[in-house]
Amino acid sequence: MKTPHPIDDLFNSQLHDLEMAPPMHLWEKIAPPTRPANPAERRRSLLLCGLLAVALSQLVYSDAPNTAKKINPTASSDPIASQDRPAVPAPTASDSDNTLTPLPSASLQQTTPSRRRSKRPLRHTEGALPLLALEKNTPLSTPTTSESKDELAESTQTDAPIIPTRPSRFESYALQDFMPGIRFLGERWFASLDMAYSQEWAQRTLLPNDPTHQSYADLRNTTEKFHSAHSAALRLSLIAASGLTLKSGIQVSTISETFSQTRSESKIILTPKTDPSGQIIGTDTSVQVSEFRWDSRNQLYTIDIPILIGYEFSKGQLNVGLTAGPLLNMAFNQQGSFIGPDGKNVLNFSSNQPDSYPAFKNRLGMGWYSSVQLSYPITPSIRVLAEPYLRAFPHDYTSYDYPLEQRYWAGGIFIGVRKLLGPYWLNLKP
Amino acid sequence: MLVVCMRYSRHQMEAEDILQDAFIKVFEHLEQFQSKGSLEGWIRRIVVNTALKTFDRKSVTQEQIGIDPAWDTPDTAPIGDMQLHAEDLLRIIQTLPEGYRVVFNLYAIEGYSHQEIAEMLGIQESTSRSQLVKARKYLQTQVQALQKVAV
Repeated sequence: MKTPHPIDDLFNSQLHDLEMAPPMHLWEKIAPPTRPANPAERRRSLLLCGLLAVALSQLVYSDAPNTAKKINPTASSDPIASQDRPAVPAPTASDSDNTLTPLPSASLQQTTPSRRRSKRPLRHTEGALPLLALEKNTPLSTPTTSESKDELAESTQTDAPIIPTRPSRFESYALQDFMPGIRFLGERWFASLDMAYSQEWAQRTLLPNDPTHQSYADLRNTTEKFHSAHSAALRLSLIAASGLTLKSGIQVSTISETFSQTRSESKIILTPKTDPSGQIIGTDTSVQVSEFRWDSRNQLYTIDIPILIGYEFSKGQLNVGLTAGPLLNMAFNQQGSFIGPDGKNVLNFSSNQPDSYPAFKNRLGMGWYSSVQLSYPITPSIRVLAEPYLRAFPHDYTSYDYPLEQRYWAGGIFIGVRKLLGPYWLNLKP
Repeated sequence: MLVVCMRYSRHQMEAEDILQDAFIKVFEHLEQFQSKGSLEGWIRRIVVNTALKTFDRKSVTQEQIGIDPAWDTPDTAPIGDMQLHAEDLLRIIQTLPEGYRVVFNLYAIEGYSHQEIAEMLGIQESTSRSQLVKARKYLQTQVQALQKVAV
């Protein structure tokens, strides 16, 4: 075992458990600022934040319908299909009362003379509570090292009024206790950055605008299959000392589907038969069978801004949080192919090609997101994050003129890291 | 806890300010204390964190590149058996340059490792080591001077 340096040992033994009673005027200064924040003021602030979030959401959503493209039957990339395509139907309506007990004497007091030669592993303060009359509330943890046990035995033998305790590094401390925070809205707030990735599962629903398009919906369901979906999120979280959380950032998601279709076409070819003199004496009939197969990967990309409100609490080392709120869609891009509304021709759609079939909207408006967050510390400032979530956009992804309403909801588990920001430098003196 | 604050500060006034800030935090977050560990440990941690918050990181990095002070005595020079008063040691520790004082307190008295100190203060691990060595040399010089005066 490493021998402690004599200087370290000297200062540790003399100063580690040294106590001095603070002057009375100090407690008088502490009392006024510890008054709890006015609850009415806090409620007003939260209400204001909520209204702001809803107003912003509404603003974004109200803009979405205007961005839908009008379907132009001649705009297809399939020149043959454009002639057979039926008319697109019109849109359908569808603190604290604790008292302090300072010591009477203001002189230095060596509380543990018998522990003068304590070794280095002493950490996180073990000893008496000379300043506060809180002994009855203080549980006694079991010493974890042989040295601690020796010290316990030693202090017991000498009848010293100290029982050493040694809590582990992260145990029993709430996340907020590690950080200084910033005062805002009557709360002390702490910041963290969440980075997470999830492979998710997406469920699609295709609903016809009117019953006559049910067969078309069925045809699309049989020719398209879910392939994969992913989401990545980068969020800034503000966590109040009371557990209230506000989160926002950016979330990028993709949903991939495969489209495959095989279609046979037969063509009768009549070839005239002639005699040696050149006179037609009959015809040869042959049937040419052609098989057409389309395979494509359809992809839908969304970029959303989540505005989430939640509550977070600690359970031992584990932090548990519940979060919900709107997702504001900032961009929706798509590309791929599907069977057109005529049920025969394959149409390409792409947000990057203006002349392709305009089946989808440019923006999705407002969606919803809810999750349960679990985080566990791996270093004092970094925690691993697991976040099961559900997200959905209640309005259809498809253009208003398209005969089907295509919607999705998706779920997954974000796995990532949470970096606590500025644990000690957040409020540095200038 | 006042002594903890004094170890991290230059004088008692500064220590009292730190203690005041720390206890305000304690009372604000008292409901978050989970009764699995020592309350004193919890309070002490907040006190140390508050003390660190008032300390400027520049003082560590700037002191690291400075000229070594004149107290360059051998690292293993013996310390006499004379009983030194805690008040004297506290006074000596308060005369340490800020960066040395923080690193020495965290390592020698609180029991943190260099890796932990580096992470807490946002400095290199090697910086923490070098600050500790310099702090020890300075303290050793001061302790020996104190012993000579006493003799």
